[in-house]
Amino acid sequence: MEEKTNCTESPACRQKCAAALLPFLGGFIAALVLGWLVIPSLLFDSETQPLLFSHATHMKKAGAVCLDCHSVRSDGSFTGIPQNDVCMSCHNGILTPEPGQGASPVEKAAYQAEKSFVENYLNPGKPVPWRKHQYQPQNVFFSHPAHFQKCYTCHLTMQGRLNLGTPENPQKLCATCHVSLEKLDRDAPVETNILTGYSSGTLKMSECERCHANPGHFYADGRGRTFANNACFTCHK
Amino acid sequence: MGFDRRAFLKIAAGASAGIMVTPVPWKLLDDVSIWSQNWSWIPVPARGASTYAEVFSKMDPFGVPMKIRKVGGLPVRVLPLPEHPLGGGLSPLSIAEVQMLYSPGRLRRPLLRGADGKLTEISWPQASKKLQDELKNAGGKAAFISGDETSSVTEVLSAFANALGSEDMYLMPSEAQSAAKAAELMGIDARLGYDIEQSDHLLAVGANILENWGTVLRNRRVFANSRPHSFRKDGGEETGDSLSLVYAGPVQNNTAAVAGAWLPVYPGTEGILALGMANMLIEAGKTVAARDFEEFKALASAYTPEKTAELTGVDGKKLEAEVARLLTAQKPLLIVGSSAGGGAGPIMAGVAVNALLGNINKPGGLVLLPKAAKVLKGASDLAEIYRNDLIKFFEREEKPALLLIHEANPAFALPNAQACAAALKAVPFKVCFSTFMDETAALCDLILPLGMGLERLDDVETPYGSGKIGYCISTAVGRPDAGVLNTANVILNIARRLGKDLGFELYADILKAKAGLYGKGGDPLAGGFAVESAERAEAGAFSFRPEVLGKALAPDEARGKLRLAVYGRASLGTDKTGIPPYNNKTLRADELAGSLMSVLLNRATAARNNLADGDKVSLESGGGKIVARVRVFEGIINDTAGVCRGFGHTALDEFSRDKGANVMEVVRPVPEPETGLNFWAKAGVDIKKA
Amino acid sequence: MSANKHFNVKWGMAIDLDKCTGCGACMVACQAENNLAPLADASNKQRVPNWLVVYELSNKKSFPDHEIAYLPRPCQQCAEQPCATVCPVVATERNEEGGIVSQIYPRCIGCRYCMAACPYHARCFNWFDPVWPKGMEKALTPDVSTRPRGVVEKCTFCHHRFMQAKDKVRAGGGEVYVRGTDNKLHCAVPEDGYVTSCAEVCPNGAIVFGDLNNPEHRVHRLVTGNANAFRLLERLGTDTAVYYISRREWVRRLGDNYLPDEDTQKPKQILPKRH
Repeated sequence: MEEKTNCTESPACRQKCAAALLPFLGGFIAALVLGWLVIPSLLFDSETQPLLFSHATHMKKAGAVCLDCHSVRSDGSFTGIPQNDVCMSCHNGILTPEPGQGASPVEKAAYQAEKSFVENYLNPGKPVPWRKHQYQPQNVFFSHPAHFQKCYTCHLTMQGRLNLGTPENPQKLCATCHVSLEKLDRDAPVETNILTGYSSGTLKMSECERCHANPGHFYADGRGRTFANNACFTCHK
Repeated sequence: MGFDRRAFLKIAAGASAGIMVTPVPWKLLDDVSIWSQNWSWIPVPARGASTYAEVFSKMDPFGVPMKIRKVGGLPVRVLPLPEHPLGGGLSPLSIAEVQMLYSPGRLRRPLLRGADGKLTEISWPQASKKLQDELKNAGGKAAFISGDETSSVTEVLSAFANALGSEDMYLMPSEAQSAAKAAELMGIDARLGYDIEQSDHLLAVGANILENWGTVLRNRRVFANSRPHSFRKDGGEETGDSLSLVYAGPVQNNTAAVAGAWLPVYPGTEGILALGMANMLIEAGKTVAARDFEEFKALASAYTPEKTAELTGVDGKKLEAEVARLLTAQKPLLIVGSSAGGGAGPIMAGVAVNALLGNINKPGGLVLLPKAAKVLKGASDLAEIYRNDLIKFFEREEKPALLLIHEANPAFALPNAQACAAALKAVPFKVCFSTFMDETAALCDLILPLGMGLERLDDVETPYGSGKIGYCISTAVGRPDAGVLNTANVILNIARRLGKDLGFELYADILKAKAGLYGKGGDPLAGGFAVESAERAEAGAFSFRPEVLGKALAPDEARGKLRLAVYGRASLGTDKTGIPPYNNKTLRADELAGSLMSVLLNRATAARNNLADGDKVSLESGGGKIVARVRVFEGIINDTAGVCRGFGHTALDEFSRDKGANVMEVVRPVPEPETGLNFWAKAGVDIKKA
Repeated sequence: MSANKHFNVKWGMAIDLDKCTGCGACMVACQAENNLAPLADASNKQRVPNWLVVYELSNKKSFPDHEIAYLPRPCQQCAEQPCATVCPVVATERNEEGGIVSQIYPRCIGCRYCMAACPYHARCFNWFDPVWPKGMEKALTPDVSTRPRGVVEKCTFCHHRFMQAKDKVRAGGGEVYVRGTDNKLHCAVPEDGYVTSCAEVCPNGAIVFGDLNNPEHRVHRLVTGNANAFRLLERLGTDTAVYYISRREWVRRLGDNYLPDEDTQKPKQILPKRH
């Protein structure tokens, strides 16, 4: 055991004290690095999509809106990732012009992706094994039509507060919950949590509660104007 | 400064403090809680778009049209098809059909029994070749059993048997067979049908019409439509029914539970009840212009109300009241039947009563339906095949060289099941086309996996009990990877290779031709919907045949201490399917406890036999013995033991095995005098504590 | 927590016991619809999860005056729930338009207080993990989640079908709740657009399902002012949404614990509330 000394007076002693704190600081900083940078990335498995798919190309160049490819069926269910027949309504062949010599790598990649899609999937009638960015847990019932219908009821008239776009082009409403399209523009890998099995894009219940548990929603206009209350059965099955 | 314990503790403390200001602990806590909700061994249902297909159940013999819901292309649910003429709701068996696609008892690969008695998997071409060789060797000494009387497969088998020169083509005993025999004996060149839709008073004698007799879904829909939900204002009157239903039988069964009245009669005396009623109707002045009416009258007059009451156990006053109701009803209809083994005599007596009521070929009456259409020239008529008695075939000393069984389980279903199994074993080469590894398949030398109704193209022609001719196609909606083939296609293929021309190469072509004969419009092979025809056969001159009836119905001594009433429950499946996986939850604790099933005795009967509720007893008859537990149930006639059939499977899967005992082991068939059929409705048993 | 909440729509049933033959089709359909696992031995009824059970009733008379009837028992969807009031984790509640009592499996801690509280034995506990024979899990429906062992479950009036029916209305561009001719809010789902699986498969039409508050629905007309309609253990004050109809008095008497000489038609005295 060291002798107990009063070290505030002696510089050597202060130095010694600081040195004594070093391991603590080292551990602290190492934990910060691990906790902020290393472990979060270890928690996720990363998978790339079988094909490069660009939402930007489809929306900016082809002028498509979300509902053109992801729609609500007449029975009220949501199609989710479109099947080949939806793609076929435009892709009757390879639409991208073959890139010339001076084409950028991006253009070449886009051409290759479409070629591969038409030849390997569309023509043989094989569904593309897309990795899904967002899939609700099996105990969740999420109604797309309810949100299309109900969110606009108020938000169209209060654009200053939260602009959700229009029912014809609900891109902003979709983006409230879905991964931003910029991120999906490139070949964004799907990150799957190794513990839970859900992708990093899967909405947490707290995200749902931002609106569902917001008293402004169900007390807004007399009780239950939106009928989107926070009862468990509103979302669970 | 070296790295000592103190430094280590300091690093650990620093790391602990540091980790708390990162998202890691909170993220992990959250993730672990989610992880704990999703165990890998709990399956997650697959997702996809819902699509629907219309089919007709091949598994439920009681006429069940259905709509299959598929998710992502795979069937997940059976839904009702109320628009269909026979539809409206579902039976407990048909609902389970999608699940049964994956039943553990399913057969997936052809199996061949080697010299050592072990079964080995072989390929379809090998199996087909083996079957072809065996059939070639057997030639005219091959025998055939079909368990599907409504399907054209029976026609194919019959044509093939005829082409081989075999006379041994059989159907499993059924109500349709008894009815065909009754019609034949009475000189009626048609099939019996019942127009319950337009009847206003229905007396079902022995026929459990709301559970397992005839076209059950249709019967039940007619019953439901005829009976408005009761509504009574305080002190007010009831709403009336447009059809009154009375059930006569030994056990207060599912039909009796909702019938306006239950008329308890001893098992096997249903025909006598009908004859007694005929006598009372004749006394009331009813008559029929038939050749032998006077002789019939003389026979019936022996069955006075007192004698009828004594023989059948029915209460004399109730009998009078029921006859009075038949006389006052506008369109009364009598249905005599059983769940199987009732014989032709009672059905003949039933036809006689209906004739006296003047309802033959009338709205709401007994209707005569034209015979089934045939497209294969070499095939026999269904009525001809019905003439061959399967029980006699099994009792025969001389065995066939080969026995081919399609969708039938005689080793379980026939009376004296063990003797049947022994007779089956004695056949040198046994082949079966079966969906499940049932008791019969387990005895066979070559076992060929047959697709379930949901996996094959097949047809259904006028299930027995229907009031109209109907023809429905059932298409395959199930898994394409099941490794199963259709019996008819295999046989057609072998016939061609053996040089026997049956006129068709593919079963689908046979069905197309048939659909054409029945006038089915649109795509001939489209599933589900039926063509229906109200076409009636000529009533013609029929006779009562009292000389046959008198002997067939003659009362005899009970063969045992107690009479045996065998009843059925739809949720127990059929002899071929066993108990569907979900359905054993529908059995109440008083029906099956562990592996012990119940035998029903009423309090007086139990007391007379010194038995009490819960006693373990054995029921014995003719060397057979089954064990059961006494359930004192007041809904059964005196001196009668009620046993549910469908228990006691020894093969199939864990959902059917080791549950109760097979009552057919104590049921002994006896030849029905004069009719040439075997029947077993008058069986008796001895009961004692086990 | 839950006081008797009033909802514009109150889903309910009228089960006609004079039509039920006890075939069990409703029980089988319920299991297939709600992804219950089959059991090889289902004879120990205390261990068998079943959301709907068909009971056999007897008039207790001897042969030949004996009569039987069958009574299907789903969750009674009480407006005054004995179950939700005792749930320590709010895994079950009645808090949504339609008045269906919810059950949230990931939230349930399996304490089984609710089972003890339910006077109808409508709740069951998963003593074991559900096991489907190999391949049969492919026939699960995506509408209802599978449950692990250790949680309580019960009939939800096929709530997923309600959700799907509402979405169908929305997909057609309609509003789900509209004002009816009586100037009250009713659900725009057509009467046959939302039917429970048990009601749908019953060949006898014994189960009538609909909105008890909607005068245009059959179920409303059947139970309003019908002296032959009764509810189970009505005097507990649970205010259930399942009515039974029978013209047989002995059947109606079995709906509650009546004294031998007690008149079943008397106005019901509701027991004082304890919850």
